[in-house]
Amino acid sequence: MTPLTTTCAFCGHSFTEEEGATSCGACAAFGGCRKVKCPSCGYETPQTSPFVRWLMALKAGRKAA
Amino acid sequence: MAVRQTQEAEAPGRNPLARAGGWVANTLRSAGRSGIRDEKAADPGARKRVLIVGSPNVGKSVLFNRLTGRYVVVSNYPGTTVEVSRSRVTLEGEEIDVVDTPGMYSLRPISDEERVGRRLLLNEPADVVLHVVDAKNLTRMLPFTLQLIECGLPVALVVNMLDEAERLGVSIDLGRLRDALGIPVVGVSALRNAGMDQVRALIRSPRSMPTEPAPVSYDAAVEAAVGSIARALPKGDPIAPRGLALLLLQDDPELAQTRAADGDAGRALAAGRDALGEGVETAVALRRHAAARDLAEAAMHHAGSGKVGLAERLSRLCTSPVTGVPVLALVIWFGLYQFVGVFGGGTLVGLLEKGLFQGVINPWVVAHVRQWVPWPWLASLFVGDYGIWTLGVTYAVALVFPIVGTFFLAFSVLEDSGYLPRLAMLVDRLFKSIGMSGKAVIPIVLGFGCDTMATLVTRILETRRERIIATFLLSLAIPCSAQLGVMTALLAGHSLAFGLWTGIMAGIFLLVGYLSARLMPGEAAQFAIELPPLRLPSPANVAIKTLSRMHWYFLEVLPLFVIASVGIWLAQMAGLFAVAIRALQPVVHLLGLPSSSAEAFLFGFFRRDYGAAGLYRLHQSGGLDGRQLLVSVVALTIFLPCVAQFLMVKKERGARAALGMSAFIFPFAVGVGALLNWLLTTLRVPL
Repeated sequence: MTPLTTTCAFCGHSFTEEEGATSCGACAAFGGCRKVKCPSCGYETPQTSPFVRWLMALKAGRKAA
Repeated sequence: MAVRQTQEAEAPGRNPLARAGGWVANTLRSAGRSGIRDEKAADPGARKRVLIVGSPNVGKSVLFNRLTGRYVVVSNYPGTTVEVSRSRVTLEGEEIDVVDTPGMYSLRPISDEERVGRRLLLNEPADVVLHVVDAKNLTRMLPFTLQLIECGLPVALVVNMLDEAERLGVSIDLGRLRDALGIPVVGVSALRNAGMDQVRALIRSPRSMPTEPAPVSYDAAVEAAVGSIARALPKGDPIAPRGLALLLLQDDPELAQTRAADGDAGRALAAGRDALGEGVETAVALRRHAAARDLAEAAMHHAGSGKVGLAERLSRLCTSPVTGVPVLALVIWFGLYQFVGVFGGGTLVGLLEKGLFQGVINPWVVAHVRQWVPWPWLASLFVGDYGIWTLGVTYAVALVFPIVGTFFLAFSVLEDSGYLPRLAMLVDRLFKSIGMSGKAVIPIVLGFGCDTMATLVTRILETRRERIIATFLLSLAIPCSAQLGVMTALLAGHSLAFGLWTGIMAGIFLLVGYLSARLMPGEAAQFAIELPPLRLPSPANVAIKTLSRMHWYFLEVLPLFVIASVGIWLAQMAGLFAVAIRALQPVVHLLGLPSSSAEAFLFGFFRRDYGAAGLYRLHQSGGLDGRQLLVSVVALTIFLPCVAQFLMVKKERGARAALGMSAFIFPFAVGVGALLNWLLTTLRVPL
């Protein structure tokens, strides 16, 4: 399994989305805010949206072809 | 016990739920004292056990995931709420149990997590202890490595995040580190899956690596006491006598109770502590840190040290108060005013709203709806002045969306360049004067995206005082992305008005913050941040973040705008809309605004961006002059952002705080607007 990783734009810490999710345990908007929270500093970046994932898959598919 | 990501198709023997007995058997195994143990060789029936330890946020969990894949059991450590992840892997036919311990900084525990980590290390001996450290912070992390070595644990050092260190111009001489420590050392980048084969090889064949631990030398008095206690300790303890003696000397009540409560060991400990006095804890820690610093300095090489590169020079320009403020002004002028306001709000909205929607799409939709829906009262729900299509969809798609899109693009560029943490450093001192530390830049900056979510993020602030001040300022003076974009677009072409608006909002932010800090005395928390490198933004990163933000924003705002249109239509039908507009007339007249602006203010009570969009349309139709434009934009910026924000403040800070803040904010917005109108009129400021 390859963990989805992200790098915090604020402190530069790299972490998996799973690690980011553990920082949101007490959050009222857990699962609904569509953000990934950095476990190191708390800064939030947007989750990659399904539309963007689709675009990325499309691009990857073209490259492979 | 919770099972995460298990796979039912797996063979029963590998089901993580069915292996508790195996764990117990493993914990009862005896172990040697120094070097990596090879239990498999000694007892072919025993399963090898690997423990992953290290400080928080060094990538332990990523390494654990890389090693173990999908089969993970997460359970609370007995008697605690601390979670421990366990899994079993098969490496070249050999089954190995892997445990991911909670973050810990040393073997002297302070938190529950550290206590659990230590118990796992000391009470459940492992065959291999992988100490994961951050390559960028070796000096801070090696003291723990030295402590693990002193305790005779079978430790191997995993230097993680080598790629991040390289980006910062730091390279690590792993061979030198291995020789100096006398333990196996491997370099990895767990996130990139680089170097993991070496970790697997180390786990499989631990004896293939050198194992000659080099202890730290303390001063003679400490060494004498350590020797005396170590000789008196009972034989057969899984912890090496030297390490155990050092922990006991450093006043460890839990270990003293179990290892040296009385007898020779107790007497030796008491004598040692009497001879060395209370300063022994600090002396031992300082010596270990000095040894770690020497090791790290010898092993770390900083590229281009002594020569300041372009990125570093730019970084200093951004953080120095003398140059940082002009840099910030340039960012606001070009990033916000020119790009978001003039280009997004002017050019793009002109093309989309005036050209496409008003010119082509809306006339076609209006004509067809009126043709298909014979009842005018029902047709007005869709295509009336406040119709779902003509107001809700047009506002969301043609007006707010292009403005917010350009704002998100500018924000993503700033974010990816590494400018934001430098901004935090720049304003740290300023923020202290308003009762917050530079860390408050995180919720404040996020507030420019969404104030409601930023209110949640105030939880990261250290003190209640900081959290209350930050929440208040978010509600009062920080416009969210949509509002900021539309406001900037409104003021595009009025550079003096834009400058005054920026200055007034910054002034309100600082003045109200300062007064709040005086009302709630206390010290601002200290702020320390490790600056990531300043770099050219990656187009791919910027595109992904911008498009994702636009996607989520659109999903959120479109239904709300449609619902608002339906609400207004219902209020119109019931006659309430006209009543509310009439009730607001005295307020807008106090602000020197035309009666028609009452609609925008009414919208603004629900969502500031909806109100701002109303103002934008009024301005487009020539309904506002320069003075009225500035007054209305300032007053609406101060309004509470939206109903969701009110509910979030109530949830986070309590109903009293939410009501108190609202009771202050709305009259304050009108008061500031009225004062500004009077000043602009009296001074005849040309806008």
